Amino acid sequence: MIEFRNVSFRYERSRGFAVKDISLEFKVRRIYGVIGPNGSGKSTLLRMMNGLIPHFYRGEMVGRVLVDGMDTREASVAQLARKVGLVFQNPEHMFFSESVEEEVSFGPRSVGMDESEIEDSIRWSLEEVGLWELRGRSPWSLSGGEMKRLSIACVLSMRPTFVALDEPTVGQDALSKDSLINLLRNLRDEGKGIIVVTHDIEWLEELDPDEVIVLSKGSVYERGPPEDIFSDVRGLVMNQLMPPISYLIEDLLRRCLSVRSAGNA
Amino acid sequence: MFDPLGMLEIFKTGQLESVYARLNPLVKFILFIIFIILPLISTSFILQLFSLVAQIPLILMSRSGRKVIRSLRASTFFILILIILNYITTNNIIFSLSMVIRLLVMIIASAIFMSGSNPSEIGDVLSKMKVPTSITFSFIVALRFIPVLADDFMNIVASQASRGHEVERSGFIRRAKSLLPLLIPLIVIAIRRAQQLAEALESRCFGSGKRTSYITYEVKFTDLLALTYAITVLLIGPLLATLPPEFLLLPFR
Repeated sequence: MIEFRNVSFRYERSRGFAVKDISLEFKVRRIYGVIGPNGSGKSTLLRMMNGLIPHFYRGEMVGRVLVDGMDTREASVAQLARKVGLVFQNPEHMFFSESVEEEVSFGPRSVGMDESEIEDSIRWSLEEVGLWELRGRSPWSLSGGEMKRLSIACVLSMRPTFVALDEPTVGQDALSKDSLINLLRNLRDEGKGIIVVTHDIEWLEELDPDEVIVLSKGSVYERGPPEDIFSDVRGLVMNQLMPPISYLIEDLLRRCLSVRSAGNA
Repeated sequence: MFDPLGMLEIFKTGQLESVYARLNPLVKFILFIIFIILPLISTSFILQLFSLVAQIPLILMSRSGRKVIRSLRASTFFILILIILNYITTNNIIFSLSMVIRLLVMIIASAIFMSGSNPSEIGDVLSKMKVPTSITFSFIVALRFIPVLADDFMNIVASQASRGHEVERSGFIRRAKSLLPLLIPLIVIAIRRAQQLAEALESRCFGSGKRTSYITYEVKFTDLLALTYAITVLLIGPLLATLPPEFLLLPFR
């Protein structure tokens, strides 16, 4: 479980706090969708989960983040990598190997897995994302969707309990988005906790997460089942978020009907 | 001690609003050139010290004290190497110190100039000096890309750290090898960015004919004051260079 206990963080050279007094829990076998306008603290939240904050990004941190009981201040990023796998928005930031297979093996080798364990891990993670057949290709020769799936495989190969994804649908076509949904659902069913930070609310609705968290100005604005969050059209719009089109139409129809019935009365 | 991002800080342009930043770009450039040339006139210890002290008003004027300190802190490694190498080769501590101060003066001059100027201003100055547009533009783009590349580098370090990667602290070869996962993505990203920029420029008719100017700069009273200061420093410096280092000890005798 990942626990945020009254966590606040202010980046070095920044005046305001990026996240303010956040208390949240993330459990395994669940998909969490995190939404919010730019600057609401979504990426900061992810960076705290695997210890990049406070180990890499300097600043003032208040409160505690616990990952399976480990305090992220005390555990190293390498130790936390086996608990929380963070998939960055731009996959190009991580590729440097000659082949897909070698790229995927980098994480397990860095965290000191055994050779046989690494082999199993590479096969499992590449099969999971559907890239086993392309294991000999150069990462740079892959399409945008394949690169994204490879970046997920790179993280999965370390067998983390949680997988956190930052804007996974950016630059992805409809087919890639669909395959991403299937992949994340499979991972959830296999027992992993999935945390997705996204601006793509239509896609998030299709993903059908177990819980949606709305961040606004560094705090939790609201959280709950997707139906409750998405039907709060006013709240989403107030936070510069566009609700899914089906909820928007439903809200519009409800308003029309209420105006009509008020007129009839 | 070795902080590549801190060293890049020297080249980050136009971050600070100050009296210095509002000076005519040509005057800022003259000040910068004078403080680069001044310590090179002679190896005199007094001249180097004078060049260093003469920059204090500029640091205050440009409000770049923090940036200067950060740049110097990031260069500590090279400064130490320079002191040691100079001392080994010349066996003269005064000369070694002179060389270090010379380097400090140049780093500080660059930090002040960069913090108070934006790349377009620097480009305009170079154009006025009849430097070919292709060179001027390449220089501006390089300056503009430094903060972008610094951000990219930070993202690469973060994403590799998330895969359990740590830069080795011991052993030169081990350390160099552990830097590969950081440097290869950075080079690939830089090349891709350069290619995209080239295509974008091509589609915006760059290099199709003679370019015209958009912004004109005036010479104000503060510009004249700064210019007078620069000329005074340039005149006093060579005079001080003729004095022996013992001159500094005179008040204590």
